[in-house]
Amino acid sequence: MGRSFIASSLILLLLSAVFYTFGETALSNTLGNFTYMCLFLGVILVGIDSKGESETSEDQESDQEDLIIRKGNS
Amino acid sequence: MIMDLVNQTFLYAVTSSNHLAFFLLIKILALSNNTVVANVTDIQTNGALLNYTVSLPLFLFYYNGSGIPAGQIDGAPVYSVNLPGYEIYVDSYNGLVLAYVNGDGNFTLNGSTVPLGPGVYVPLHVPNFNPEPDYTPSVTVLTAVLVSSFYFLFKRRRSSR
Repeated sequence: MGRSFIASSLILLLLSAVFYTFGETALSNTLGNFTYMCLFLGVILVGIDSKGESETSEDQESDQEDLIIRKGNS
Repeated sequence: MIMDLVNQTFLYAVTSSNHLAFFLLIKILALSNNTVVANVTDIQTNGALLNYTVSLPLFLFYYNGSGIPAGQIDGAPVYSVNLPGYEIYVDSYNGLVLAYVNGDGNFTLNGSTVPLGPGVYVPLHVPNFNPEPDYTPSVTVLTAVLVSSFYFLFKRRRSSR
């Protein structure tokens, strides 16, 4: 989900620059504000995603260690 | 005509990309050959006022020369003249400059104590202090469409792997 916000913010930033060159400053400003919000949300969501993934991978690693210990005991 | 400009008042509406930027209330204090000394009041769209005295070129108010006929402004026939940095529209009756374009700024005479011509008066235009359109709803929809599109695109790519 976070990556989709960041990709969208890049498109919005490009559109903002294009509209600014055509003199549509109000639209350009609005697009700029949305770019900022999308980047902000995107970075937070990517951070949450990566934290969740690292925790699940740690859980998987500890499960594998348990399996190895159990096999050794048996 | 030139001497008549002293103590006359001009109100200009300045638009940029078809949106009202500010008003200029100009009272001419003194005249020399090519310049005027004027008391300028800059009226911002939020009601803030900025008052200053400045020297301005005379051709922004009065132009005595020839140009290309360019239709009518407020019922007065005008001709256009290209000067360095400016495109001015001059009243063909008395040489009064009714509008000029300088860069992004479009200066239009909104009212004046100088008559434009016999039986021709500058109508008082209704000022619009909230001209900027609000693009927030359309940009919100655009953002939602972009985010959902990318979300499904990334989801499909992940599932295809």
